Amino acid sequence: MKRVIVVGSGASGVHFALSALRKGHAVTVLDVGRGRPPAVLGDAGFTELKQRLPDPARYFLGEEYEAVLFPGADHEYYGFPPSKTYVFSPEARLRVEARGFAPLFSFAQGGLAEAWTAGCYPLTAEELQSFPFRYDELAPHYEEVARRIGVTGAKDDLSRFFPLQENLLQPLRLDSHSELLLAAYERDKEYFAGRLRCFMGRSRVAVLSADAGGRKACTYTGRCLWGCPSGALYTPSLTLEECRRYPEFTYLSGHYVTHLNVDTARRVIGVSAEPVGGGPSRSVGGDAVVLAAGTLCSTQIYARSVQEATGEIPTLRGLMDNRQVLVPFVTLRRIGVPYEPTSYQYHQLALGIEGATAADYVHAQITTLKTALAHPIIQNVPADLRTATFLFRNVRGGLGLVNVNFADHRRETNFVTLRPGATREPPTLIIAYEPDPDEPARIARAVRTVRRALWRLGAIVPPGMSHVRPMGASVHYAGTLPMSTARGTHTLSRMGSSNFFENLYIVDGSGFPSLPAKNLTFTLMANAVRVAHEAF
Amino acid sequence: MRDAIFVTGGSGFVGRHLVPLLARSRRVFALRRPGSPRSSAGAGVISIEADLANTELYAHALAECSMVVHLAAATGKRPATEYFRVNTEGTTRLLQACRAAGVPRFLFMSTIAATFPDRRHYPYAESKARAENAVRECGLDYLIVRPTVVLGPGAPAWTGLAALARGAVVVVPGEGRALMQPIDVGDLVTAVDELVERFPSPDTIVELGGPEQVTVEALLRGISRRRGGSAPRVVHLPLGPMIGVLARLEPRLLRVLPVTAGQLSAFRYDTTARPPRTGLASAPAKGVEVMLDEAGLGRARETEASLTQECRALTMHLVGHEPPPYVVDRYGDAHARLTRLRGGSAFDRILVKLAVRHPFLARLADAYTAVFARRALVRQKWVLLLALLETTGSTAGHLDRPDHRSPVRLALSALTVAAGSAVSFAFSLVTILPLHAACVAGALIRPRLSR
Repeated sequence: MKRVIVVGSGASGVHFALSALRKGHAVTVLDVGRGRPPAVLGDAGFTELKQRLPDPARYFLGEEYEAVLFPGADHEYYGFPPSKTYVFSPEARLRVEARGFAPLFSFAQGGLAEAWTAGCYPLTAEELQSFPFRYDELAPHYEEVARRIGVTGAKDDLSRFFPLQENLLQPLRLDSHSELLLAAYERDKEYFAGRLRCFMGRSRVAVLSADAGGRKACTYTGRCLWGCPSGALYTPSLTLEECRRYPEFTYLSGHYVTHLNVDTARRVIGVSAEPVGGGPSRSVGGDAVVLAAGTLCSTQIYARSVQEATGEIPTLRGLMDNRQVLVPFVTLRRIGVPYEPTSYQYHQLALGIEGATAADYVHAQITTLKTALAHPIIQNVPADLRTATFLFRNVRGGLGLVNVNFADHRRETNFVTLRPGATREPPTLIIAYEPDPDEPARIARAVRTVRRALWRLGAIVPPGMSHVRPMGASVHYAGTLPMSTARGTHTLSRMGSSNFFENLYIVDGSGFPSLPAKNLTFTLMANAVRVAHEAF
Repeated sequence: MRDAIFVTGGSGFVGRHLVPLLARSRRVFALRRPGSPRSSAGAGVISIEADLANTELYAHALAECSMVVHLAAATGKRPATEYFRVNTEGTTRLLQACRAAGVPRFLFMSTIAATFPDRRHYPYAESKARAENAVRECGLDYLIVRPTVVLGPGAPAWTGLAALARGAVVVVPGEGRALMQPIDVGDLVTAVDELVERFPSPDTIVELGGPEQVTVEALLRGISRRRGGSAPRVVHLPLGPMIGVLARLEPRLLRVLPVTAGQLSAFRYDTTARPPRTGLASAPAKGVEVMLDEAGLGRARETEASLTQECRALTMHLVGHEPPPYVVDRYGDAHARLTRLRGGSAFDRILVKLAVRHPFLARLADAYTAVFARRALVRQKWVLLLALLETTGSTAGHLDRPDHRSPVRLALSALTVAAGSAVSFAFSLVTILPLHAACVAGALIRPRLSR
């Protein structure tokens, strides 16, 4: 039995912890651990919530109206609701300077995936080519994670891009707008496959379609964005709860880990953490430390530890993120049709656009507009607000958004480093990112394909409303400390163990040597489970 | 038994203060206009809801009264015909009813403006002067009270005055040297109560003013100061031409004009009171500064009232319905919390005012800001309203329910909406665009001038 310290309670951390606990190790998880506010009126649907809450504006818009998207936040189609602000609320100890990158951090219990849209896609053998292990070595861990969290999906045309799993749950009930689009695709498959090399099917989502493991199936309240009141939509805090049932598990919440404690032989013997509420820094000892604080925070802890150990600050290159482009659309046959407030709110369909190589694959998720706040969308319509309001309420049932994701690869220009602070001041995290020079061409190509696909499905893309989100917006950060078979100084082994510090493992996105277009979260979890199995 | 007093205009500004005072020692019948707010006048007050002209509805009450106190009048911004209908004809009818019911005494609340030598463009003053004549000729024992400008918290007179002392510039009509002698409503009703009790010598005219006389300009400056403007800039406008122009425009544009020719006429002559010959036990005590302090002209109160109005107008424009009280309340709350909704450039503030003033102007402001000023203050306010309307159970439907299921009808309404939008935009190009340009130019030039 080892005493293992895990830093971070996000998707990677909790799945590593659960696997290690099951193998009989003693696990201590440290995090800042901001908690989720209690769910309100769990049985009420979205529409009902507005009627039953005594102060609905406060719930939906926030006490300080922070969830109102005022003009100026152009092209963002939704803001995070007050019930999710805890996920992104900043930590004063973290100082950041970013160039070409808009970083998001989470200090929440469960991490960023507390606010995810639950997309779960396994990578293919080709996509894992730069990883120091094969698909079949990861596959059992995908299955394990799928059993834990519950992933719905279907055998369809997209199975060519994401291998089918044994543990898939029945897909969720499809909303009628998505149903219409899928039926249009089914009728016209040949065009899509032949001309566009574009395939459509059900997206894979970590939401229960049937009761399982004490969790209730989705009740279609339409409240996904505001926080699933039934726990059907998986978030890592559910696995954290599971970990807490093990006697060998210790949860040290309220701690901001600053650096690793290292002996003279660069062997990691624990971590130093500052209590969030103030007070002296404390040391927590263990046989091994697992960093799972998310790419940027893990990299910061790592860099600061290197500085403490050697006096030199490393520059860790290869930062990646998925570029996202938002393409709104209107399905003409749905104009004048009322929208369905009682349905799963996020994406139920996905588009896969084949590329010349696996790295050129473009992944898009189609979200038909169901429950949502309307004012961010209305103000983005290129018309006066009265007209925009009229248009919105009449086309609402036909609105949708395609979120197009692009792969990224490690490049020297993109890095994370530290600038030392003044005496007793924390250092500043420096982030720099430059997009690939060929990115605009790739985006234009993919958006053209998406546009043509939508047209074929009976939907139009209103001109001027597609939007390239800033780098950093997708929060799929990766690549600063890559797993590799080559033993570089600041790299990881295939086990996720550091080549610089002994007894240090990194199981979050930092270790990814490449970033395919698909959401990485499912792979983060599977990889963390893999490391727990292989190295512990 | 004739022991009661009949008061018309019981729910008006003066009436609300006078009725409770009279009711301390007598039975009072208070006549209020149909639809006016039901005030809680308290014990001893019998409220009668009827139009002044429908004398048969309240004749039974007159039969029990020893005196009528006639306060009811049309004031503020109204068409000229309305003043004569209510103030002159209404008074004549009331006098007839009094004679028929055998009421012996009649106290008529007139105005100091009835003494203005030139009342051509001031129909209110003219209608009151004619009513005075009717009172004098009616044969009852009468008492005519002519108050100067009546002030006090919530006094209607503030509206006109504040319109001139709004923003950074105080507009003073004419030289601003005309004297005013405003009287506090409390002092006024105390004096009237005493006059009712004593009813001095019949057939008297009493002018009532406050203890101090000030110039128009000093009063406007005082208002501006209390509204937060430090050392306001004063602009004098030629009164004669202004009155002439306003009088021409009024028949068509009464609703959108900030002040009327009549209201401006009040700045032409002194509105001071001659000391009453009868002598009153209670002399008016409240000075101008105190009245200004008590008027609640500070931003907070003014903002609350104007925000409610603003919320209504902006919501009507967006969805064609009045906002429910919850939305109005949250709208005010958001303004108290978010600095981005306060202030703004001169152009920002003008656009908000236009949008609130008239539905058509709201369309122009909306159309213009959709293209040229997407972050304009008025647009921010509209977006806030959208957010409030969509999260409120009773109004969410305005934003997510289709107008029609039939594609043909939908297409037709879309065409109408699009045409309306295009027309508004075209109009905004010839109205708001020059205004915007002027504001931008003004902002560029001003720093240079001050250098």
